[in-house]
Amino acid sequence: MYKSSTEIKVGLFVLAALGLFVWMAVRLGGFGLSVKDTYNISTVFPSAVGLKQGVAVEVAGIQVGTVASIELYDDKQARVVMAIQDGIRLPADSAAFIRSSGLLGDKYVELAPGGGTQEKLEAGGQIAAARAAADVSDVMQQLGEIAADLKKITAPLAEGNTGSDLKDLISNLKDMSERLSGIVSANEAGLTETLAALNGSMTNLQEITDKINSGSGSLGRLINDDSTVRELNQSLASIRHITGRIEAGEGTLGRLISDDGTIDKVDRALSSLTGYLEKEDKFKVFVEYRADYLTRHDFLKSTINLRLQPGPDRYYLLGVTGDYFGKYKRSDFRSTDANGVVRNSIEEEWRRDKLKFNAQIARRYYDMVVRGGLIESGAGLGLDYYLDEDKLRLTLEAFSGDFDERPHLRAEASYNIWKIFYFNLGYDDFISDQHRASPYFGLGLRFNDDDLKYLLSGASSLF
Amino acid sequence: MAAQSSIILTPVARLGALTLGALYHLGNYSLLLFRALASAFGPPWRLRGILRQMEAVGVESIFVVILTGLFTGGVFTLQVIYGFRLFAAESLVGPTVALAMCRELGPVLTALMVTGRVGSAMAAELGAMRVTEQIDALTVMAADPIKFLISPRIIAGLTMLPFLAAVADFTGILGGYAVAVAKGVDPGQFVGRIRDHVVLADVVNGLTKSGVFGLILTSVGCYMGYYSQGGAEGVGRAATGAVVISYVAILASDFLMTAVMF
Repeated sequence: MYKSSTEIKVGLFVLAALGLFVWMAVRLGGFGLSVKDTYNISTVFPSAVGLKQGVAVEVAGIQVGTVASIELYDDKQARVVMAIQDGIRLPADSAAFIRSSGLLGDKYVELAPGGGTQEKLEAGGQIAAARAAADVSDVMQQLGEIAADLKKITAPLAEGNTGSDLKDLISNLKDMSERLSGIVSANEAGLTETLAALNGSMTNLQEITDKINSGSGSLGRLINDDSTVRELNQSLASIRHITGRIEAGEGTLGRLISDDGTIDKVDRALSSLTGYLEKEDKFKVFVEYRADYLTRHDFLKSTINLRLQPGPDRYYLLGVTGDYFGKYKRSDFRSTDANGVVRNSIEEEWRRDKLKFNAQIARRYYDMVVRGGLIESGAGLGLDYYLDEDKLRLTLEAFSGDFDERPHLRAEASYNIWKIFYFNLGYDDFISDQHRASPYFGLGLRFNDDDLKYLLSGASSLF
Repeated sequence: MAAQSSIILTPVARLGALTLGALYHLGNYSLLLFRALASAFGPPWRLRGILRQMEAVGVESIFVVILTGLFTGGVFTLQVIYGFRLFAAESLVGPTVALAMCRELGPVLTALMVTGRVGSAMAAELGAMRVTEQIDALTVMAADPIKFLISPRIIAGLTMLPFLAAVADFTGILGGYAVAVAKGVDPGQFVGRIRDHVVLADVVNGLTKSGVFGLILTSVGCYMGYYSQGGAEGVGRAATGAVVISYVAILASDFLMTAVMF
C-alpha cells in the first residue's frame, strides 16, 4: 500500500522524538500517573465534618494514601476508611487526626505513627482517633476565654477600687520586716562570730600591704624599685614608637592596618579567588573523540568535539568531523560554439574526506538534552535521552544535508562501557535518496578536565 | 500482495494499514515541513509572497481576534467573579483573568480562530491548485512549489500568530475589565493587582506558544491541501481535515509546552 518506506521511516523517527518529548513533558510537569496498590485501615472520629472522600492521608506531611469512604458508625460517630499504599507499614498504635490546610481550611487526615510497639498495622486494621488539632475556630474560642480571664483581672484596676489591695500589700511588708528582726535576734551569737572572723582577715591584709610598702617580696620590689619602672618606661616608649609607625602607615604591618587600599585589595583578591574557584567547580570541559565504521561504505568516520559545560544544565559543543561524503558542487555552464549553437553543460564536483564542522548549543532537562546549531556543517536539531544513570544515551539527529533533498537523519545508541570508553551503534542518513544510508558502529573516548590535566602533565614530563 | 480474506487476519491487516498510514502521513508531513523551512532560508527570497501571506494570516484576522478576546475575557471574568465572591477575593479577579488570557486563552483561542479562518482556506486553495494541476504546472516551470507556495505561508503563520495573540491578550483583559467594573469590582484593584501578579515570562511564554501554533496550523493546512486528491470532494476533505488535525495538534502541543514552560 505504502510503497515508499522513506515516509514511514521518517514517521517512526518523528514519532520517537515526539515520544521522548511527551515523556519529558510528563516528567517535568510532575504528573503522577501510576496507580499503586493499597490496603484499607479505618478509624472512628467523633465528627468528620468537612472531610470528603478522596482527600489525602498524610504521614509527616507526605501523602501515603487517600480517604476511601466515610460512613456513619453506631448512629452517632463517623467511621473513616483510608486506603494506604502498599509498602508503607504503620505501627499498630498509630493515631489519626483530622487537620485542615489552606485559608479555607480544607480537611485532610494526618496519621501520627506511634512508637510503642513493633507490631504493624494489617489490612483492615483499626487505629485510634486522636483529638483533632486546633483549627481556626478552636483557637478563636480559646482566645475568647483568655480575654475573659484577663478582663476579670483588669476590671478592678480600671474601676479604681484598689484601696483594699494596697492595704494588703503594706500589711504584708510589715509582716516580713517583723520576721526578719526575729531571725536576727534568734542568731545573735553566730552573727558575732562571723564578724570576729572578718576582723582577723582584715588584720592579715594590713600585714601584706605593709610588706609591699617596705619593698620586700617580688611584688614589693616591683612597686618600690625605680629601675623596674625605668625599664617598663623604656618598653612602653618602644611600643609607642612601633604603634606610631603602624598608625602612620609605615612598615608592612602599618600599611596592612592603616592603608584602606591594602585591605580592599586583599578583599578583592579573596573574592575573585572564591569566584574563580566556584566557577571552576561548575565549569567543565570535555574532549570527545569518536571513530565510527560505516559498514556500507567501508569507511571510518572520525569526529573530535570540544564540549564546554558552564553548568550542569547546558553546554556548548565545538568540533570537526572527517566525513566520507564531501561537499557537492554543481555548476551550470552555457557556451556557444562556432556554429552559434548554445550548449548547456553541467559540471558536478565531489570532494571526499571533507572536514565538516559542529557548533551546537545544548540544554538539558532532566534526562533529556535538546541540541541545536550546526551538525556536520548543516543546520540541525538533536535530541539525547539518557538512561541508566547517564550510561546509555539514545540520540536522534536531523540536519540539512548538502546534497540530498531530504534531511539527514540519524539514530544512535551509545553505551559507556568502561570509564572513558563508549560504544556507539547507529543508523546514519537512513532516508537518503542517494544511497548513503548505512549502519555504523564505533568506539568513543571522552576525557574530562581531570583526565586532560593528567594527560597534559604526563605529556609535559616527556619533554 | 494477495488480498487476505481471512476473518481473523482482516482486522489485523486493517490495523497494520492504519498504523502504517498514520506513520506515512507523519513522516511525509515532517519531510514537507523540513523542506519548506529549509528552502525558506535561501534566495530567491520572494518577500512579496511572504508579505501577502502575512496580510492574509495577520492583518485580515485582527477583527476576529479582537472579538474573540473581548468576549472570552468578559465571560471568563463573569465566572471568576462568581467564584471569588464566595470568599471575598474579588480584588484577585484581575490577575486571574490576565494570567489566563496571557498564558492560555489568548494564544490558544487565537490559534483556533485563525485555523478556522486561514488554515482551512490554505488547504482549500492548495487543494484546488493540486486537483487543477496548477502545482504540477509550477513544477514543470522549474519553480519549486514548496518554496513558492508553502514556505511563505508557514513563515507568515510563525511570525503573525504572536502578534495576534498579543492583541487577544490585551482585548481579553479589556473585556474582563469592562465586565468586572460593571459587576462592582474596584477598577484600581483590578489593574493594580495585575501589575503585582503578572510577570513578563507569562506573556512571553504565551506568545512563544502562539508562534508554534502558527507553525502547526499553516503547515497542516498546506500539507492537507498539497497532497489532496480526488477532485472537488478531495478539496473539501482537505479543508475539513486541516481544521480537525490542526485543532488536535494545537491543543496537544499546548499541553506539552505548558508542562515544560510553567
